Amino acid sequence: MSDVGATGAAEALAPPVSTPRSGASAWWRRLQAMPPSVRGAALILVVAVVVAAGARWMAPFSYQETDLLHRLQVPLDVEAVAAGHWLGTDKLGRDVLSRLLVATQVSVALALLGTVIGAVLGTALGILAAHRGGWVDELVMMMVDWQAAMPFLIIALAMLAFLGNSLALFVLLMGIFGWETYARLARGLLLSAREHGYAVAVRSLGASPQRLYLRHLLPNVMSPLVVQLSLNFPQTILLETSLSFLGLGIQPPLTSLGQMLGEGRDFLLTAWWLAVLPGSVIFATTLSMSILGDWLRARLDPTQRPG
Amino acid sequence: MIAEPTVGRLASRTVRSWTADATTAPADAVLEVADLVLEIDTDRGPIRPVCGVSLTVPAGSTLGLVGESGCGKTLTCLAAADLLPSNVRAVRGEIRLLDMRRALDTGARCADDDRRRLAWRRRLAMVFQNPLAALNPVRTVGWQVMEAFRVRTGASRRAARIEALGLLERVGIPDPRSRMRAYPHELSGGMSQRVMIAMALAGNPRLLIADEATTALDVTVQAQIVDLMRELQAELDTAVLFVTHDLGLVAEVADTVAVMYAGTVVETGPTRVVFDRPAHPYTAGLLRCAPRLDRDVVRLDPIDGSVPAPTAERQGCAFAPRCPRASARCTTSAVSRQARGSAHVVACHHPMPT
Ligand SMILES: Nc1ncnc2c1ncn2[C@@H]1O[C@H](COP(=O)(O)OP(=O)(O)O)[C@@H](O)[C@H]1O
Ligand code: SF4
Ligand SMILES: [Mg+2]
Repeated sequence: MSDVGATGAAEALAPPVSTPRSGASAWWRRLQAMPPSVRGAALILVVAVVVAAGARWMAPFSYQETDLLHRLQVPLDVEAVAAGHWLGTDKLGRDVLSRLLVATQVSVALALLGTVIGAVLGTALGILAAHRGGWVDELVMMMVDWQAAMPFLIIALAMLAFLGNSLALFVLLMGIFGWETYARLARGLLLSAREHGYAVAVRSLGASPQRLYLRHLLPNVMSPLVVQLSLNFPQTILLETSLSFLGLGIQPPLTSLGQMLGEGRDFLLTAWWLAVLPGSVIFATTLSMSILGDWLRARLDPTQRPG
Repeated sequence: MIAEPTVGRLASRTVRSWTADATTAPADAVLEVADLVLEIDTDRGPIRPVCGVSLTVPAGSTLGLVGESGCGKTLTCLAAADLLPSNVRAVRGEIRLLDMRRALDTGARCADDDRRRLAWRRRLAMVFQNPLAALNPVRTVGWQVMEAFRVRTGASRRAARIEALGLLERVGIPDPRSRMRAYPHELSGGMSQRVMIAMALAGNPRLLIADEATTALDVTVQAQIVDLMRELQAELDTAVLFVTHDLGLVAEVADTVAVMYAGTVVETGPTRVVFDRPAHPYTAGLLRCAPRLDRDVVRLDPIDGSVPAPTAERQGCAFAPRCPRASARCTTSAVSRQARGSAHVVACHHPMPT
């Protein structure tokens, strides 16, 4: 199954060309074909991913290390730079740059995990609904409607408040967030895909339903699902930051972009950077991901593709 | 709407309709369809596009199934291959495929044991009318031929690759090694049909069902594909159910022929005999319209009148409104099949004089 998803996605993203694709030069050509805004967005995301991967090695200080002699230092201020705090410090004298790196790591990782869980869960339920039909289909679609009708932030707040805050529950909530779009999308796409001649041909071979759906139909409907994933990701980041901002997500001493933003809220007038810096990172990553998602959708949608 | 929503769900009360009985199946028939009746619900009530089809494909030979388009050929094939669309209901009938047998009574279709139904499908292979539609657009040709072989035999990827190369070579695809990496849209119609045939042959099925397999191709390519199929059939000794609305093709490829009209087989027999001395007025009319059996000219439409709507209730002979030999009896009493010499059977009250 993992091999199916991976190759399916790769093929969906790279429409088959007859010339053999030679790695670097093809990538370079593809990069040059992107509009500047998309190139910028891609760059920001690459930086975000690199930061997310290497935050703990890049951070000049430990993100928890307090320095009470250098509290609330202004970014790029002479004194702050001299002490090594390029982006200033917070009320406990913790290095903002280090905290920002780790917060980005935590937020991106959580959003990624949540998005993937939601995509897999939703797609699996969509396949089940399409394949079984009948009451299974009705049940899944009913759950989809419930989920779509619920104000998810409120539900998440309630669950975190009642069940207590744990990282596992938090990740689970992020995963459940947005599954219904994948379910609805996958179900519809598969229902129409299996009308195609090739689906009948595969069934005529005597292939099992699992094989039909996972190896033959899913790769055909992969691109809309990947687009959905790219559009869903920024929303998941925003969910994480909102919950953490409200104090129900990531708890200190761990930090995240939303949690930093929440802490910075109290210092908006006195230490603007504590809220503005994490806010800017949230803004930049979600905007980049949305731009990239839209571009991907335009690229993969056959009705919009040029030539 | 082609769906398979119920595999396994009702499996427990189903086993009765699938039986493996090597003893009762005639040794010389690969496929035997008996009294197949299919029903479809429409806005204006149920219709029976197939009502009482019986046919036999003998081992190692080709049965040509001919009839005007819409007479139920494709549905008959789909029933034989256990691929009926979800809105088509089997009312009754029995199908034998090698050592397996299925009784198709009402509801049997959704009550099938899934393991047996996959085994059933693996014993035969279908070649469809539109090869491009029947190939998966996002998978390479090689992958799909390998997949066909792997589904049927459970072979490893490596073994399947070797087999796929051999199959592509065998169906006359030049440079199969590089064609393995091609995508369907990079192939011509003739090439894709060769690929479909390669997929059909994967795993040596005992029966090949070719439903208008050459209709979508242009004439020269059509001739090549027909030659290829005959060659392979002789070489592999596979039985073939060759479906077409083209009489000329049937004369060329079929050992025996079954003529269908409005959901029933009206005449069946050795191709030579049926074409030389047709017993059913419909067959005779077709052949009169096409005296030279030139397949560029022949189509089964030049008989006056049109095919009746396939309503559920049917009295007498469906061909009566168009039949020059019709009598009062033809419109009231059901026709039964009568033998006309060895293996030549006709369903008509007043067959053509010999
Ligand atoms: N899935 C379906 N739903 C409704 N009607 C169908 C379906 N399949 C076939 N039919 C109808 O049944 C009749 C026989 O169809 P078919 O078997 O495809 O004929 P042929 O292959 O001889 O041209 C036609 O009138 C066709 O419109
Ligand atoms: S049964 Fe009567 S109407 Fe039907 S084909 Fe024979 S003669 Fe014609
Ligand atoms: Mg047909």
